[in-house]
Amino acid sequence: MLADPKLWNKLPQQVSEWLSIQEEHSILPSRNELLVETYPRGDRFYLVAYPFEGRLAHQTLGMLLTRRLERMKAKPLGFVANDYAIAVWGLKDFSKLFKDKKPSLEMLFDEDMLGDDLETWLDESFLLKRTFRDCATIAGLIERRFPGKEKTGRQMTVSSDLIYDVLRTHEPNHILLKTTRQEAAYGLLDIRRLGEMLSRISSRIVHKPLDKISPLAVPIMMEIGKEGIAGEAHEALLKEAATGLLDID
Amino acid sequence: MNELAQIEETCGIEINFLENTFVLDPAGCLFWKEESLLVVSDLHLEKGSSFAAKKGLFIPPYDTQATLEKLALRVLHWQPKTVLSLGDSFHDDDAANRLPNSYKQHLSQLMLGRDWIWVSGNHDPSPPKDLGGTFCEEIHIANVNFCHEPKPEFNIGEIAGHLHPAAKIKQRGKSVRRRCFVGDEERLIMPAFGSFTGGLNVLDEAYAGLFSKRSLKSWMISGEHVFEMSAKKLVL
Repeated sequence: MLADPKLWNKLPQQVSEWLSIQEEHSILPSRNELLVETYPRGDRFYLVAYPFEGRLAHQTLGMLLTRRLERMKAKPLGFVANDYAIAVWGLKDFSKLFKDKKPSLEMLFDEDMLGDDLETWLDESFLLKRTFRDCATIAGLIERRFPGKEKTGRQMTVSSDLIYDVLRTHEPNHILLKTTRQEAAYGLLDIRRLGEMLSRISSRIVHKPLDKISPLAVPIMMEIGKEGIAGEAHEALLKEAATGLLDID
Repeated sequence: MNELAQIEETCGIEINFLENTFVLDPAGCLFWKEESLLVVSDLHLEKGSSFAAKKGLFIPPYDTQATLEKLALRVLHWQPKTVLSLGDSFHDDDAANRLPNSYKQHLSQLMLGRDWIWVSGNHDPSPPKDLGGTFCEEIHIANVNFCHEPKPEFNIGEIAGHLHPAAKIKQRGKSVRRRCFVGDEERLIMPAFGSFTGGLNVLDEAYAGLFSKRSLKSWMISGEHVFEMSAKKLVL
């Protein structure tokens, strides 16, 4: 429907207007294409992809994409997903990276990301730490914050991350970690759907570098629930604060 | 010298503190070149088991091992004549007794061939039994006084721990928080070395009166790097 302007008259006027502005400024992807837009905004660079696979699959895709970008030294800072799109932002100019093929978009969206990347990212991700905190609370390992006892609660909240790391190093098969993984696989990931999407769109990725945000990207930019990436970008920021120079190479 | 140690050596920062050369090691310890002295603070050994012993909260007890392994790497790297543990080495007064034998042996191996000084802290006011090393409330070496809790009334040449300093900056709309060394010309506070320890922002009231605002600096630790950060970059 999105790709076919003839059907737009069935949509409310505002929506069809929105889509035609999108067509003017960027591209409207056809049914089997994946549109990827890249543009600068503020002092960051954004990548927005529109797989239309639902929030769960997008959330997983976000984890995996940022993991890959981190490994390819693109210094991602975070991502956010909604039901039809995913946005990733970082310190490096995505348009230039993809133009120089470091990495190319095809490499980035390759199906093999569901293998090792998934395992490794999962283990380090904040999403899992949060799931772990819930599991640990239910197990009675840590206490929830109570009114009037905020300080204690917060201290233990911080510690649940530490406990997670310690368990991961020393008891990777601990029952709480198993539970966490199960919970996460059930709640956060939609791997089957993601795999189908990746194989469908391979070699059908349309990249559109833009000077500024496109109409289709506005809703995702307003989305709440942003996920941060703790990686090299943080060190780059520390270095910039310390020396006044941004070192992104 | 192993490869890891070499990488880290290039990333530490050398500072001059009261005419002495100190290296701020990104692992969170301090090496005094002239005295061949390695200083670590707030190890909080057996903190995990302390929750089980005191509050019945069963938290994974591996923090001691992680801390000791990290310490061993640094001792191996610097080969110091003396190691000084600047208080809160043990999370509670009974923690040294709970220390499993294998960890005790690990510690005694580290102590072989060098002096080891335990400075007392608020968590560990009495000396650890059967562990060796000397014990004191504070110690004066050359022109520097080492003690656990920084004293606002003490002005010149103090190196302390206790506060677990951490600093936060905001850059490009993103805040980054890290453990840090914090100091001015007269006083230096060490980050907590223990693997199971939190941090307190250096702009917190607890630091009031310790530093002159004009010359306050913090050295933030991230991975294998130490970044010197001026006071005006810091946020709460």
